[in-house]
Amino acid sequence: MTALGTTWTRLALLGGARARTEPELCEAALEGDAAAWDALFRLHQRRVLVALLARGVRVDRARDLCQDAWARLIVQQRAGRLRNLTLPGLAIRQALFLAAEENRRARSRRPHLPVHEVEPPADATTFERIVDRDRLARARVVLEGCPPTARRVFERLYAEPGVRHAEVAEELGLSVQRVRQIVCEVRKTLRAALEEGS
Amino acid sequence: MRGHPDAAEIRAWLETGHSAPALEAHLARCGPCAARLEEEARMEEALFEVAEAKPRARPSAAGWALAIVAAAASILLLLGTVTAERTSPSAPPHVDARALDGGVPRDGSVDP
Repeated sequence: MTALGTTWTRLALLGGARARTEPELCEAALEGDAAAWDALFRLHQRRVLVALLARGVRVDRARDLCQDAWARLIVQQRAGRLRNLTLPGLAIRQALFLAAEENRRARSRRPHLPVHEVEPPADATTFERIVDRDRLARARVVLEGCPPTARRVFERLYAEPGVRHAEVAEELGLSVQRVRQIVCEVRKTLRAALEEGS
Repeated sequence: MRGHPDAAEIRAWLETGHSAPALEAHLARCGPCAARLEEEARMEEALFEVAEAKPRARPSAAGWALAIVAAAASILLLLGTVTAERTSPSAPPHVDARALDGGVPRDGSVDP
């Protein structure tokens, strides 16, 4: 978390009466606090949903799998099998595992199709990345070549969960419209860099 | 029945992640739109990965300044050593042998 104050405000909006930082929410969730789980879900659900859609999961199934993944995490926590909560990585991994399981079951119902066993990765925070290392490095160089304000806007919006355009605008002394324009420009630049090698 | 959403509409929906039942129902049914959604989601996911990737370590301005000072100090030390070598005596001081031998040369000859 780079801007703790902003995150605190954001979580205050998301989490109801008592505002907590994300580490505090994770700690509370590990102790079984339902409100903390709810706040974490709202904070990271978009990221989990995008991860599923990016891997070809149908939108209606993605919504369900997203819910199921969080439910599984809560069940694991209640069973005492969850010691660390690294988000959104853990939720994404759980959702992708459920999607793979669903695919496997669907394939096994059709005997003529090969069945691929999909095992979740050993590390709880890792999952298959969309971008390979070379393209990632190239995109990162392109990002570093962007003006500092543009880079800051992009990183705040994409690397921190649940952050809003209005918050970033206020923090950087820009209009919301200007923030949207900057994001659009950076996205366009990065898209070009990412598509170059794909 | 809604029409096919364009890429911008799909991107806008992905940016918020908020529920949009009509759009989602269409995206679940329409093959070409589902393919477009997957493509846009892949790009969105890629942008997350780019933002989360650690930037390459670059020396800061202070780092550069420190390196320049260190290089300058090394050069000065080197120059100081060379100068000291040049000014130091390269041969021992001349001593008159006669002074040591009581004024008589070793071959016994005497100056007129």
